[in-house]
This record gives sequence, C-alpha cells and structure tokens, in this order.
Amino acid sequence: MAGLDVGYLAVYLLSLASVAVFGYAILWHARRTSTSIGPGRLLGLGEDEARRLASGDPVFLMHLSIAVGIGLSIANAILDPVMPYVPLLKDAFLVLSVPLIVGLVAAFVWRIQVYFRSKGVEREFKSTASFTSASTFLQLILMLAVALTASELALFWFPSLVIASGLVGVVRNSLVAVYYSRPSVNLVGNFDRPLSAVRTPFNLADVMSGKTDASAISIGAGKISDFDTSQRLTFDSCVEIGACEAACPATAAGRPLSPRVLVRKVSLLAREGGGSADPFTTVGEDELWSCTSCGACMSSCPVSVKHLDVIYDLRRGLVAKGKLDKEKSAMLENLAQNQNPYGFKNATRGDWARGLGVDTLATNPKAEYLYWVGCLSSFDQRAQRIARALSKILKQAGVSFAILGAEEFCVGDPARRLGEEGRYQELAYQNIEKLNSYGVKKIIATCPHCFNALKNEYPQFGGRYEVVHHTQLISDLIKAGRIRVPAEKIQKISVTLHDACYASRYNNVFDEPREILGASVSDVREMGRRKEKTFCCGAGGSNYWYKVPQQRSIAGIRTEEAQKTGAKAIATECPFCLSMFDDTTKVMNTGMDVRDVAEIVAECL
Amino acid sequence: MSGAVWSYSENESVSNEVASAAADVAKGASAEPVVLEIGAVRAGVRAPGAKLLLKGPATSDVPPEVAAEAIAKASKQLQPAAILIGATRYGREIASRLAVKLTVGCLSEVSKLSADGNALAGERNAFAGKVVAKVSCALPAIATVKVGYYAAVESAGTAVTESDVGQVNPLVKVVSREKKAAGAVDLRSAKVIVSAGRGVKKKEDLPMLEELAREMHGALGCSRPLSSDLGWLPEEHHIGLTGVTVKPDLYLALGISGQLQHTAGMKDSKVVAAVNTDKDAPIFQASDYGIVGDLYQIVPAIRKALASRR
Ligand SMILES: Cc1cc2nc3c(=O)[nH]c(=O)nc-3n(C[C@H](O)[C@H](O)[C@H](O)COP(=O)(O)OP(=O)(O)OC[C@H]3O[C@@H](n4cnc5c(N)ncnc54)[C@H](O)[C@@H]3O)c2cc1C
Ligand code: SF4
Repeated sequence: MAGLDVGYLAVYLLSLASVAVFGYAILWHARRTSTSIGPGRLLGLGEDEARRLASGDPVFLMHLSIAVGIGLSIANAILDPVMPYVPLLKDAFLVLSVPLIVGLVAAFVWRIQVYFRSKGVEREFKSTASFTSASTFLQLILMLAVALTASELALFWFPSLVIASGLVGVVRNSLVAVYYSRPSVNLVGNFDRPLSAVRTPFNLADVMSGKTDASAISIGAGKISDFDTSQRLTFDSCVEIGACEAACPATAAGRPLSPRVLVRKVSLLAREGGGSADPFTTVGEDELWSCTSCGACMSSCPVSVKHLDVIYDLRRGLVAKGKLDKEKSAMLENLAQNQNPYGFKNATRGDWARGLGVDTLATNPKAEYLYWVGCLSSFDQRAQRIARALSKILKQAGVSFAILGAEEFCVGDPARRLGEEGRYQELAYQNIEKLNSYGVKKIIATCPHCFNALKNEYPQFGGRYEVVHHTQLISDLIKAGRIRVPAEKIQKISVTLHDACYASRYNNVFDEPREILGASVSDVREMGRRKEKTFCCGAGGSNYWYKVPQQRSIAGIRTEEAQKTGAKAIATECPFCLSMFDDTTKVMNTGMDVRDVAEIVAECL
Repeated sequence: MSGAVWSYSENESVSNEVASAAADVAKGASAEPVVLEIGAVRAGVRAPGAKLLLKGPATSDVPPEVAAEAIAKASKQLQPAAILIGATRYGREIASRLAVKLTVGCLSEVSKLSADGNALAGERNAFAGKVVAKVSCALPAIATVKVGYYAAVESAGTAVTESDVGQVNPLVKVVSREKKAAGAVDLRSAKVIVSAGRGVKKKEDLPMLEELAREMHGALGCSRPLSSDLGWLPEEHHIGLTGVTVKPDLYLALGISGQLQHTAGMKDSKVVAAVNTDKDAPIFQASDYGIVGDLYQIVPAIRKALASRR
C-alpha cells in the first residue's frame, strides 16, 4: 500500500510539474511577444469558440475535442486526490469524457487523411526532404497528443489504472508544453483580429512630414529579420493542422501555393538560417502571386495563424526588388497615370451615368449618400449594369445620393494586395482629402473591395465614414417597404448566390443578399461552401490582373459547384466575381446566367 | 567646351542617322562631328567629318559591355564633348553602361538634338506621345538618339584616325544562337494586328485569318478564350489585361465582343477596325471603323480587295 502511495504521489507531483511547465511556457511566450493573456482575453476567446461551436463545423468540433480533452484531463489529474470526496465531480468528468473520446478518435482518423493529403501536396511541390520530414514530425506529434489524450480520458473509467493515466498525462503535457504553448499564445493574441486588419508597414503622411524617419522603415521582407515579433510568432505557431491547405483555393486549383507549406518554410528557414536568411531562397514568386487574399486560410486556422501577414510582406519584398512582370507593372503604372488599374482616361469614369439623371457631389453636395462606384463598374460595360441597376433602385426608393464621377480614384485595393503599399496610401489619401472636403458621411459601395477598404482601412488614414455594401442598403429598403417587389414580378428562376470573400468572410455580410434574393426570385439554392466559408472566385488579391501557373481555374471550380445546385443562374454581389463567372459560364458552356443581386432586384421593379 | 561630338551605332543605317544628329550638335557646340567605328571600319557607314576607329576589340559580334568599355577608354583619353548613340536595344545598353563608367548624364530616346557651349538638349515623347518633354544635360553628356527621326548623313568624309584601346574582355560568352521557335509572334512590334475572337467558329478557320494577317504584313492576335480556354493559339497571341498590351498602327478585331479585359490591351492602337455581327457589341465603341457583318463574308472580301490592289 505504501509502495502504491509513494508511486501515486510521485506521479501526481510529476503531473503537477508538467502542468506548471506548460503554464510557464505559455507565460514565457506571451511575455516574449508582448501578448496579453489576461482573464479578459481568455473569456473573449471562450466566447469566440462557443460561437464557432454553434456553427457545428465538424473539423472545428474535432479541434475543440482536442483542446477540451486536454483541459479536462489536466483538471482530472490535478483534482484526482479530492475526487473521492466529490463523487459527482468524477461522474461529471466521466460523462464529459465520452463525447470527447469520440471527437478525439474522429480527429485521429481525420489526421490520417490530412497526412496523406499533405504529403501529396508536398510531392506536387517537390518539397525538400528536410521540409517533408519536419512536417511529418509535427504531424506525428499532433497525432500522438491526440492518441495520448484519448487514452487518458479512457483511463478515467479504470480507477485502478490511475498511475498509468497520470503517466500518460505527464508525457502529453510535456509534448503540449514544448509544441503547443506558442500556438496557444498566438491564438489568444489573434482570435479576434478581423481578417480586414492588414499590417501597415508605414504611414505615408508620417513619412512625408518627417514624423517617421524614411530610412528606418523597411518596406517588405527581404530577410527574416524584417519580420517583427508578431509575424514570427504567427509563422512559428503553425503545427501542421492543415485546415488552411484544405480551404485554400490556390491549392485546390493546383497552383504552387499552400498556406501551410508557405508559413512552415519561412519558420524553418528562420530557425535554420537566422535573421539574415533570404526568404526568397525557399519561397517562390509564383507561390506568392498565387494567393487571392481570400482569407480562407486564416479563418479556418484553429490557432489563428495569420498567413496574409507573411504573404503581404513577402509580396512587398518582391515589389521592392522590382520583381514584377508586364501585367503587374502595367496595372501599377495605370494607377499612377490614370487613377484606375485599366489605363482608361479617368475623365470618362462617370460616363456610365449619362442620361440617368445621377448627380455628382459637385452638383449636389447635399446628397445623403455617396455612391462609390469603383473602377470595374465605372469602365467595364458589363459591370456598369450593376451601377445602373443600383441607381434605378435608389431612385425608386427615393434615396438621396450622388457619385464623384471623374473625381473618384481607384480605392487602392489592387495596389495594396499586390504589395505596393505606397501607391495604395497615395490613392487613399487623395480620395480621403476629396471625401472630407465634400463632408461625406455615408457611403454605399457595390464593390466589396472598395467597401472593405473604405470601411476598415481608410479610418487609419483619416477617412471615417458610415459605409454600407449595396446589399445591406437594398435589404433595408425592402424591409422598410421603400421598394416593393410585387408578387407577379418575382422572377421564376433558380438562383444560387456566390458570396464574395470581401463581403462575407471579411465583413460578415451574407444574410442581406439572401434576404434580397428571397424577395425577388422564386427558387434560391445553396452551395455547400457559403457565407463565411465561401470559396473564392479567383480575382482577389490583384489576381484579376495577371495569371499564375495552375492546373485548373479557381472560378471554374466554383462554377462547377454552382452548376451542381441545379440553379440556372449565379447571383453575385461583387463586380469582380461577376466578371469571373461571366467568363467561365460562357467558356464552360454552362448556359448559366450571371447577375448581380442589384440587377435582379432592379428587374423586378 | 570644344572637342568632338562622337556618334555610334552598331547598325549601319542607324549609324548614318546618328551621324546627322552629331553634325547638328557639333555645330552648336563648335566641335567636330566624329563617327566611331569599333574593331573595323564599315563601308556602309558614312561620316560628315572624320571616322575614329577604336582598335582592340574583335572586328565583329562585339558584346555591348565591350563596346561600352572601349568607348569609355577612348573617351577618357580624348575627352569628347558629347557621345550620341542610336537608341536601338543594343545602343541603349551601351549608353547606360557608358554613362555610369564616365559619370556623366544621359538623355534617352531624344530627337531634335542641339547644343550650346554648356549643355546638350533634346526632345522626348512622354505619356504615350501626349506631351513632349524638353530635356537637357550639362556637357560632357551622352544621348541615345531616337531611331527613324533623322535623315541619314549625306556628305561622306573619308579620313580615319585610330585609337588603340587594347583588349577588352567580354563578361558574357555567347555559347550558341538559336532562332526563335517558328510561330512565335512579336505582337508588341507588329504594325498591323489581325485579331481573332470567339466569332471564329472553329480552329480550322484560323489559317484564313493567318493568311489575311500575312497579306496585310501583320501578325495574328486573339482574345483570351481562343488561347487560354480553347487552346487554338499559343498564349503569347492573347491580347488584353492578362495578356500582351499592343499599340499597332492598325488593329483589326474579327468576332471580338470587346470586353474591357480585351480592350485594356489594345485601346492605344492608332486605328481600330472591327467586324462583328452584333451591332451593339462593345468593340464598336472602341473602334474608329466598324462593319456590322459576318466575318466569314467580310474576311474573304477584304482579301479579294487586297489582291486586286496588288
Ligand atoms: C480576370 C479576367 C481577365 C481577362 N483577361 C482577358 C485578356 O487579357 N484578354 C481577353 O481577350 N480577354 C480576357 N478576359 C476574357 C474577357 O472577359 C472576355 O470573355 C473575352 O475577351 C471575350 O472574348 P471574345 O470577344 O473572343 O468572345 P465573346 O465575348 O464570346 O464574343 C464573340 C463575339 O463575336 C461575335 N460574332 C459571332 N459570330 C460572328 C461572326 N460570324 N462574324 C463576326 N462576329 C461574330 C459576337 O457577336 C460576339 O460579339 C478576361 C476575363 C477575366 C475574368
Ligand atoms: S488567403 Fe486564400 S488564397 Fe491566400 S493562402 Fe489563404 S486561403 Fe490560400
């Protein structure tokens, strides 16, 4: 008996020590990276996880099983000595362990599938042997942690095996302390950072005024030491979960990019090559240009790795080195000379509105809303129909609005996503100066990229407006009865909505377009990947302006998905998505129609 | 500043143009125009004054870095007031290298060159020819001279002096030369482009358009679907936002609807003509001349008209 007690005591103390080490490792990483991990943050994280739990995503449930399973087994180990005195507690633990064990077993099986997929991707990319073995190693650690946790929870049921259970816990806690304290800190630090929060390497106005020393700013990453602590924390936090790779449209299209491989390569290079290592020795140009900035990787990552923080800075590095082909440099040149990325004379920007009786702010500065048209809807004849449709709707509803006409410049999004931060901020400041001089308060945007920039990015440069996406406004107008679709005008067609990344995933606008469609067409079908889990059209992140090597087109993949719903039309809420699908549906001879939700409503009025 | 005004081009006819420019500049700078020859004196190159032969480098196939080094050596010794070089691809490379070696300014792609005692001046097109920039640079200076602007020099001096610049080693060794693969087109430099869109019904109809392009001394381009999606033509034929940007004298769009993604790549063409069955096709808004009609009738008609003119 004494022998057992000593053994028990030893294992118990070991368990406490291993938990303490894990706790200390977290504190250490948090301090080193100045990440706040106070109770407020943890509470917030809990709420966020609960929200995601409600979404019922199976992959998320598996990851939650791992986290909660570890938490429960740690609590069980610590509380073990008092268990005999609180019988209900033990029962509660036993009951809780069952779904967690199921989740963990599912997670283990899932990991096997992830393993084969990831090795397939690495073969495709011809990854180096050292990369592949480092990646396999981390995946095995994860599988081991899952297996150990599941066994520990199973051992709850066998009180006589308490020592074995304790030992399993010690090994698992040690693994967790070594491999998962950093991702835990990254998660606590980043879980609530919106997708739209792009790291801003410098502020042009501060540089121009001399407030920031121009020679001290680094534009883009040319070497590992150009990444700051938060970026290093983020790329070092990848533990090969692989959710990003499964979600990434670039990987799906057979482009040379997987967000997992990219951050892991940079992380391994930082570890092996140190601060002076050149990331472009391991990350390729096409790899970086393959990204559409859709944000699927970041929103699917269970530990909140911010892939785009790394990708944008590497793209800025390519821009700084002048590594731009003709299409990309032509786009930037057009922005500089013509204030639009296509090179059309900006004076003709407002021509689409001729004869429609649409005011400009110059003639009607008192208009309640500014309609920010955006470049594609201004210059592309197909996309102009969106602008005309919205104008018709607003007029019918009696909304007071005006456009800037030739005074509107590109919002700058294509430049920023390409990695030309300076040109982006130049355009942003010029636009803001104009908007503020007119005293603009409310803005409507039909382009989600403009919407996102105006709403989430411009405030940082002094432009604060109430910005709505046209689907939000139209939905409000319908609810308020200011526009009415008579029953006989409801269109008898089947439509599937393609959510634009920058509206849905970036800005949580996804119910409004559905409400609009519900009021204007007879049959709305849903694709599997929708709302914040939408699949990119392939145009974002400046991809509209250039091509990258790929096995198939991202828009083509999405078009097939839309076809599978059996719908006869694709509804869009972004001129770029419209343009992409207009092209694919024709080229693929789908016979499908592509229209913006605004066009659909306008046809019903 | 006195001294000489040197001129050089690797191309004989351009050389005669640049010599004219040098004669103009020399007048203003009260200097002598001198035509440079590297390695050997070429019979087809005329000089308004004397020729200066730089001896040392090989007599033919001189790589640009060698030409630049040879001219730099000679000019350190003889101190010319200005060096004018034909703005060919090769010439531009020499001029930029030379400017760095001599740490003097360089005016690029200029015409209407002149000089006074202190500066070299010229004019240069900017913003796709919308404005003319007047540029100048303190002497001694270098300029690359716009090709095709000056008439060739008429008078032909014969005096040749020599300057030995010694051996200059090339940095790059030419291993072999290969012709561009047959079928490769250079749409960017084509004066006439016949461009095919999805109005063309099948791949077998393309030779008809290729013929037309040949008869018009032009090249065949296409809209993206024909290359990327249908694979009827190689990628390098595709014109537009994600393809080549072209500015030919004549762009003939056959069965192209004229989406922005296409017109963004050809809108700066001098003259655009379009054939399309749809009178509302957007291409007509980007065109100077339009025919509403079937390309299968119009193309043979154009070919017939061309044949009857020959
Ligand atoms: C991101 C992105 C980038 C793109 N980049 C480019 C690009 O760089 N370049 C490019 O070209 N496209 C590009 N596109 C595609 C572009 O949007 C259009 O789909 C494409 O230009 C249409 O090609 P088309 O005019 O040949 O075909 P269509 O639009 O199908 O037009 C065919 C035309 O032929 C006419 N026609 C039919 N039969 C006849 C006949 N017998 N005689 C005469 N006319 C006839 C029809 O009336 C019609 O106008 C891009 C698309 C996207 C989404
Ligand atoms: S943002 Fe989208 S395209 Fe880019 S790496 Fe992430 S998932 Fe892939």
